[in-house]
Amino acid sequence: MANIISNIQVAPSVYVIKVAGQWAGAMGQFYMVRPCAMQGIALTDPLLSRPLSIHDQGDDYIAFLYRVTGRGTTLLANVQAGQEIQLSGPFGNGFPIVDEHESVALVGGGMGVAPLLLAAKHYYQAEIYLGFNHQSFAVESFEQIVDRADQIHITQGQYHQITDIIDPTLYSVIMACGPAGMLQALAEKIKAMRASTLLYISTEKRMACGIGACLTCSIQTVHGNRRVCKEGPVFTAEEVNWNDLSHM
Amino acid sequence: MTSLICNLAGVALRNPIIMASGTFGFGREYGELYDLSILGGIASKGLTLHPRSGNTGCRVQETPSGMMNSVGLENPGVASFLENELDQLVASNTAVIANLGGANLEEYVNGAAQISEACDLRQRQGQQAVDLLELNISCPNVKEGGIQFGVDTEVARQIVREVRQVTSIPLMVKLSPNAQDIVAMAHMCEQEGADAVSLVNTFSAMKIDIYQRRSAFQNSYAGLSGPAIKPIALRMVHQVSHAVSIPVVGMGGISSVEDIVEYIMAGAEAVQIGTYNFVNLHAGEELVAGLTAWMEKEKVQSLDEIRGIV
Repeated sequence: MANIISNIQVAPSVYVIKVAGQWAGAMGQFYMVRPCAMQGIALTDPLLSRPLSIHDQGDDYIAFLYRVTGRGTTLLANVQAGQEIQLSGPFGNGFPIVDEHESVALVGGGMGVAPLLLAAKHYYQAEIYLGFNHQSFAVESFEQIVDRADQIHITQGQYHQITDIIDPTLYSVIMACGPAGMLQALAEKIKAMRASTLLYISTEKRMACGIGACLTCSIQTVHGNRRVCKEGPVFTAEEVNWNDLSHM
Repeated sequence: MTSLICNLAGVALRNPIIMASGTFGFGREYGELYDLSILGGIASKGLTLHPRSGNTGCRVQETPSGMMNSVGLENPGVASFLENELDQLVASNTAVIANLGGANLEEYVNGAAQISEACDLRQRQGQQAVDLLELNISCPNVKEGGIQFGVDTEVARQIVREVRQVTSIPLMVKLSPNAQDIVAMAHMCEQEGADAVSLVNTFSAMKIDIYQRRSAFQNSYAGLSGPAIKPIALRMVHQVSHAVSIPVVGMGGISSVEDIVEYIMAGAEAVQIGTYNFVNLHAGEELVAGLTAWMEKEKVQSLDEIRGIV
C-alpha cells in the first residue's frame, strides 16, 4: 500500500496521481494500480487493476498520468491526498536505451504523452513532439527537463496532426506512444520518406493480470503472439500487425 | 495438529488450494512472485493437441465483480508443453494438472494419448509426471458447427469414454455451467470412469459496445468469471457433490478464505482459484496461509470435519 501525495486534475478528465515512496521502474514500464483492500477484504468492483505507465519518478515518489474513461479511473480520480492505493510492478519492457550518438525523437499523442516524460528525462537532448486533439497537458513537466525550450513541438486540435510536423529523416530513432492510428501514420511516413529511422512504439491493450499469465493482452506480431504486459508494451513498428493493434 | 491434506482421486494434495487453468499460465510468472510449492496444485493453461493463437479482437471486459474473457485457448500445443513446460512445472513441487481441450473428438483423444505416453516414459525413467488430467469439455466443437461439447451430456459422453480408454492418468472432467443438466453431466462422467469432476468453468456471457453497436467480442459471447458468479457456482457444486460419489473440485469466484470454506462445506474435496489470481497476484500464498489460520481459530483439525456438512 502506498500513500497518495496528490491527485490533481491537469485537463478535462485528465489527472496526475503522485504516490509516495521509492519505486523501481524504467521508462515505458507500467504498474498495476488498484484501490487498497479494506481490512483484508479485497474490493472487487471494479475487479481488475488498471495498467498505468510510469509518468514520472523521483527519489521519494512515483507519478501516473491518466484519463478518466470508466468505472476504475472514475474511482481513481476520487481518491484524495493522504489516502492509500495499491501498486504492483514495475512490469513490462519499456523504451530501449540507445547509443548516445543516435539522434532521438519522442512522439506522443494524447494520453500517449504519459510514458514519454520519463523517457525525456533520460533523452534530455531529444526532440519532443506532443499532439493533443483538445486541451494540452503535462507540457510544463517536459519544459522543466529539456535543455532548450525549442526542443518541444506541439500541435493542438483535430486538424493538426503531430505526425504532420515531424521529419523522420532527421532522426535515427523515434520512440512513440499514442493512438494506434497515430503510430501507424508515423510508421507509414517513415516508410514513405524512405527514412532509415527505427521506430519503437508503446502499445496498449486491455489486460487482467499484468504479469503474462492471462493472455488477454496478446497481440499479433511477425514473431507470433506477444504479450503487451510482458514482452511489451514497447515493440518495434516492424513487428506489429496494425489491424490487430486497433482493437483494444 | 491442523492438517490441510486432501486426497483427490488418489493424488495427495498438500492442501485443497489449486490454481485454476487459464489464470496461472504454466506457473512461471507467479513463480517469480512466491514459492509455488506451498500450493495444493497447479492446473496448466488449457492445452490443445495443436498450438492455437487464440481469438482476435478484444479479449477481456470487466463487469461488476466479474470479468469476461475471450482468449480462445491460446496455447503452445501438447508437444511444446511436454517439451518446454512440464519440467519446470514438476520442479515447482506441487501437484501438476494438465488441462486438455480440443475442437473435435480426435484432438481430445490424441492429445490425451500424447500426454499419457510422455508421462509413462517419464515414470519409467523415475521422473515425476502429470498427476491429473483435467478434461475441458467446454470448447466449441468445430465439426458440429461451434456448439459446446459440454452442453449436451451424450455428446460429452463420447469424449470422456474415449479419453478414458487411452490414459491411466487420474482423469478429472471440468464441467461447464452452461450444461443443460450439470448433475446428469457429472453422473455421466462417473459412469464413464472419470476419477473426479471440477466445476464450474465460465458462464457464457455478453457485452455490447453501444457506440459501435456490436458485441464487444469478435466471438459474440465470452466467459464470465469472478466473484459475481460465486453463489451460482456454489449451488452447482452443492448439487453435484451430493449426487456423485467421485470427488468434486469446486471453483467459481473464490476471493477469500470464507469462500473456500463454503465450497468445502458444500461438498468439494478441493477448490480452484482462478480470476482472483488477477486481482491479487499473491492470492495463492495468502489463501493457503489464511485457510490454515482459519482452521486453527475455528479448531477444525481436518477439512473432513466440515466437508459436505451442508
